[in-house]
Amino acid sequence: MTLLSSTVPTEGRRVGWIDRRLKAAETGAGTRRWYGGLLVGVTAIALWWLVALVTRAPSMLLPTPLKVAQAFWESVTSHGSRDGLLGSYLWVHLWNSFRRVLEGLGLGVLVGIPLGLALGLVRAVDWAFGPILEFIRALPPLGYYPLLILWFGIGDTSKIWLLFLASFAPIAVATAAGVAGVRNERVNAVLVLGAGRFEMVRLVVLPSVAGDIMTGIRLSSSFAWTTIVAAETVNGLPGLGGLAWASQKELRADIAILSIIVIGLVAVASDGLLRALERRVAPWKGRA
Amino acid sequence: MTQPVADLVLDQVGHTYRTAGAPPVEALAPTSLTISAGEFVALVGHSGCGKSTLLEIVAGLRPPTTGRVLLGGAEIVGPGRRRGVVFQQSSSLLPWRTVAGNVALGPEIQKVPAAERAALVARELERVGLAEFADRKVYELSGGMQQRTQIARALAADPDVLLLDEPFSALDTFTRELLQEELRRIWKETGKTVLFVTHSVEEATLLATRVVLFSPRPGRVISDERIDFTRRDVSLKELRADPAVVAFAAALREAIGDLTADVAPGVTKHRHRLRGRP
Repeated sequence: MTLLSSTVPTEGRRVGWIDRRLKAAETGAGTRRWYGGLLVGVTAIALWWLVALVTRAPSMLLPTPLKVAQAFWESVTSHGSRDGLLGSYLWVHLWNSFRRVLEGLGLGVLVGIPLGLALGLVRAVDWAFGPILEFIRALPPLGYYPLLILWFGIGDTSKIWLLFLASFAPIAVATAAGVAGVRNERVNAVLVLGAGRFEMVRLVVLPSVAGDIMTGIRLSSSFAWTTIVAAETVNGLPGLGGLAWASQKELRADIAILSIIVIGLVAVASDGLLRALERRVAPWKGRA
Repeated sequence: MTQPVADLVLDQVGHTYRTAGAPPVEALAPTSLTISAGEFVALVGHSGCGKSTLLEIVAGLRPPTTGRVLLGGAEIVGPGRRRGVVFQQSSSLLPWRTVAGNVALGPEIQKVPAAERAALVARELERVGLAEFADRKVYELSGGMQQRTQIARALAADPDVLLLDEPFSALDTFTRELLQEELRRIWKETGKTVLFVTHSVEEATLLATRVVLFSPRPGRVISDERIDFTRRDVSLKELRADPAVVAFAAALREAIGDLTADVAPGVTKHRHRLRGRP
């Protein structure tokens, strides 16, 4: 407000939220700054440390951040005959969880995309498999995990089956929704140029749904990640979920907290990566 | 450019929209028209008079509920490359392709060899004045340039008939006048048969060799006049000021106005409902 305006009454009002949105649209930049999160994170760690010191809680229940940092050091170093934590380095735990997700999700993608295209394009497929797919998608994967263990044992096979079943349905449903959202005028545009049905799919449907498929993969990926951590409580070593689970047997809360931090960081990183890929696949979304 | 030889024959073509839970709406009464190769026919009428429906039927995008359409003696049963379409919405352009990529669609579908295709695309982009925008994304272009891209895309497939559904209705006056001039030049250059839907009597008068006037719903032909203002060797700017053009457009407007003059919307609706009854 300027000095002059003090003599003039004001008219109308500004709403900061929409102003920021308009500004962001203009500059093309997000308005969130990284240091907000850093500030809150540091404050949280300080509070945690304070509580641990003040209450003098036993380290096996509430370790200090320093203990967790030591656990991290322990996880990446060798101690005579034993490597890292519970016999494996941290990156081995991480890689094992990651590999299981990659294999299960990969199979989910391979089956989910063609199935979703068929659901969206062929009425009979939607009629037959649409309802079943909604059913499978609604199930919590850990509900049918025991059955998979009975069938495929407690090794990797049952875990990969679990992730496959958890991921293919959301991908198929997202793909089918994308097909339903393909704009008629774009389909018509290639039909009047002489395209047949396969060319229509290649020229219009596939490029149109690429973004929706990426959205489905992103959803499935976070779903698969939370599922694998829980599934690794059964014979999941080496693996991050197994590591977190074993910590309670060894009375090591520091390992549990370390596992949580690593699991969270991996989830955020992989989501960011897939989000970037999503934008790259459909840069025209929201602009045309 | 190949010379089109195919006449377009509309034989008792009509369309009634049927939606569940609502009375059927007859958009287009059975209509017969014969359009000779090389004509520029403007279909003029109010919104909802079935002129766009008629264009979709000729494009093969909507089957008629009565009658049939013949192109060069062959019955139209679906969309095909002999009838090019310039859609009203520029969202029919594929946003994941560049301007040149969109224009190349027709030749690609026809499996034209790459070198020949590139030459074809370059020629059509040149024709619509977009040569230097070949590599731009379509959503970066202005509305006028997007419609130019659509015209180039339709021409690159070398259709016999060019169908345009109010292609300039979303453009500002200056851009619209520019594109009218361009379309007129393109029609003269290529000799294509043009079927042009518009609600602007002036646009129809300036561009067409034949103006077909439709009544409000259900649309039926109420006048079918041949004119030749567009063939005169003067610019559209001069043509707009020509007393004969002004008089013809005024007469058209009067003919259209007569149909709905001082009828309130509610009454019009009522009248339509009465007409819709068989």
